[in-house]
Amino acid sequence: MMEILPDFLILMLMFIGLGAICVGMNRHARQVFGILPSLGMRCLRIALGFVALMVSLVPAIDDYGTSIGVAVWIGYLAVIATMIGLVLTYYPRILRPAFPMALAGLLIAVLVSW
Amino acid sequence: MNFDRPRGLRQSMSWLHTYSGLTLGWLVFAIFVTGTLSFFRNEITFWMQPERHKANSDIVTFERALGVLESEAPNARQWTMTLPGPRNPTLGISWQNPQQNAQQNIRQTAIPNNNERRVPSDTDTVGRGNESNAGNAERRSPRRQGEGVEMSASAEGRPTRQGVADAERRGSRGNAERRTMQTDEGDEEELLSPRQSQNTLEQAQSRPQEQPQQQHGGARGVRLTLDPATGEKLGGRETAGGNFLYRFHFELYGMDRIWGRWIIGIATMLMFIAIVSGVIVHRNIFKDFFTFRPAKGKRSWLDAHNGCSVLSLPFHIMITFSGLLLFGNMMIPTAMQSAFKGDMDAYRQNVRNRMANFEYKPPAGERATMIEIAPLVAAAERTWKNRKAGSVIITNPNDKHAVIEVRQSSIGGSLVAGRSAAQSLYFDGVSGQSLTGADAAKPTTVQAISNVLILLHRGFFASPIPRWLLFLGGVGGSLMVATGLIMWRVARQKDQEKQQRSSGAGFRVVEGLNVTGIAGLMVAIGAYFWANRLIPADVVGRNDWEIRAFFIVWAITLIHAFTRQHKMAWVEQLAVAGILIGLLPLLNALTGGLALSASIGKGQWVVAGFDITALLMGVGLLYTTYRVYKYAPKTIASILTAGKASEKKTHEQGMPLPDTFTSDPRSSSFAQRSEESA
Repeated sequence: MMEILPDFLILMLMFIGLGAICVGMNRHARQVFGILPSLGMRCLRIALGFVALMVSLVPAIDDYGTSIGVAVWIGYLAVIATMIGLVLTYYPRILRPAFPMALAGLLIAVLVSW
Repeated sequence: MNFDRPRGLRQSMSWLHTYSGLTLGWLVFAIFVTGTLSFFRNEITFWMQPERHKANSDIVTFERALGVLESEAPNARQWTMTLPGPRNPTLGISWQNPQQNAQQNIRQTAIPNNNERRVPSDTDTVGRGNESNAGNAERRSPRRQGEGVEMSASAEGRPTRQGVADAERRGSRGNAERRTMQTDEGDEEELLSPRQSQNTLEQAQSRPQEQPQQQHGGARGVRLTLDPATGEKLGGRETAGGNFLYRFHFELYGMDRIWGRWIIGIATMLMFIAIVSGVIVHRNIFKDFFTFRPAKGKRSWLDAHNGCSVLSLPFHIMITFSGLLLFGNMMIPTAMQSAFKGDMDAYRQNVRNRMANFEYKPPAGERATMIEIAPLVAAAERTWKNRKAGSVIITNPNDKHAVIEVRQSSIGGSLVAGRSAAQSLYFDGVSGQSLTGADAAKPTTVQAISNVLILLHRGFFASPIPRWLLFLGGVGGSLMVATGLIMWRVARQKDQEKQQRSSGAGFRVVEGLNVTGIAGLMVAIGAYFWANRLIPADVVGRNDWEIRAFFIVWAITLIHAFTRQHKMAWVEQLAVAGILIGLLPLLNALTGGLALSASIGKGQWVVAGFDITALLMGVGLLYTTYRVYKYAPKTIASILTAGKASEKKTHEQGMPLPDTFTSDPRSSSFAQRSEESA
């Protein structure tokens, strides 16, 4: 259980990050929420998304070491991006409850790791 | 494309992308698929030897293994135990037997002594088509056990002469035998010939071997596979195993290795050109990052192709470039030769990562009782924290000067340091006192870069999660190539119809090769695994028959693809592939392997992982078959009536379906409009 905790952290952070970037784009924001966000909102989402992505590098490097950590991070990035792309295509609305769930999962994971 | 008219960069690149991708695309697809499977080559080999599935690696009883070594190899100077790891649940023991024969003495100097280490990732790597079949101690050239990369000898029936010479050349310099062997081999010029450079290539890839350790008596390697818990000898059928797929992906089969490697090298270069030009051609990398628009004909194929390419672009660039790098010395030997004036040994010395070494004492000749091994392994693992022990090497066993070396497995660590940076702890074999060896030299910048790329390509470092990520990257790459190939046809379908030629020759060739290159390869791989279980386990040369089954089936799919109507060819081959691959877990259970329920229950994940993956792939292929079968080219009218519903159609998984629907003006304008409004 504790062994996969860092990977879980990476996944949640990355999902939040890529998801935020995704709903920061006009086309996908409409798919998920049905309305166009304001420019400020879009910028905020994208900025938050990149921050979350960068933060997700921390558990990756911490757990796997710098070189392998970066490689693993890139690998996860591809997997999560593919997943989000497919969900957007077929069930875009799922992304709405998915965000709070990922956040909750993240919180629990952080608490557990403490 | 007209070459006499001026065109923009993007147009030129588009043409380049199309034809660099298409020319050897089917070969590139085969390389990608077999290469992807090679990430699990040890696991595949293990699955293909069902006799070993019962191995229990929960605990390692060193005493039992030592007992076997004592009775089998009382005179060996060094014993090596390869510990079970996530990739192989068996315990390997190996040693080198003293020999008298002069010919073998040559080999012995050639054989780079005890540094030829068996770390878990190499456990079952033997020459092509000759995976180890221990049980009764089988013998083969020691070099071959250590390095799966090296030998293609026995299965191809052009055995050891070259092997000996190759091995020999890398041995210590300037001894008499070496010269003899070289004259025997033909000419000194060999040093500068491609084969030599290829030789160094392999060497650069593989573990370093030379090290000023003592050579020990004339040697032939013997290797046994044991159940880690009971010490029972595990038999194992002769099988070509995962190694066949592995070797196929970088040197093909049935031809000279150099030729095979050059062909693969050229295909890789074309792939690299296609990737770079593809990035230039792609208009909206970031805007379309998450976009997939299904059931829109050519647009969907383009989206799928872009998705597979862009989302794991770092993987594709890494794997293609490092693949070229692995061939670097063969394809561009000039730099190496001019810098070292043709002195290959100097080059090797320079290029190789120096690993830590240890000065062994000669045996004292006095018998002594050795200390228990398990506590030493535990102590070593405590010292390393995150890394596990991969092997235990006992020098001068049962002697007063016995030394026990506990060596890290190659899993984990750092990419920069390279594979040879796996640390060892040395213990006095009698007192258990810790001894110090020299540290490994730090890699230079050039070595570090090469280490990172080569390790990423070969995945030695990968624990299960990174390994699966690499595997998924490979799946993405395979889908990228497959969708690209199919798109060439989809994009030209309309022209074909307009010209009223139901089948132009080139068009028809691409169609046929698409079916056999994509679906046919899957059928052949499925047949390969079936052959593994259906050919009786005691047939001599059965590994060759496995490989023959693979190629015969692939040839049949080629004939089939060109004789059947295009859609039916896809449907039939995909269906056969889906059935063959999807039923592998059942076949495994029925032919002596560990059934899926049992393997999950026992936590035998190497077998369970294979079975589950096969099951998923089978389901994916069958679903694809169903979608292709149901597919009917759309007309404008059908789009109008289907309306929104058609957008819900799905085809995301597995092999891409050969959609022949070309985008018609209406649907593309729909797409455009929704983009504009977005």
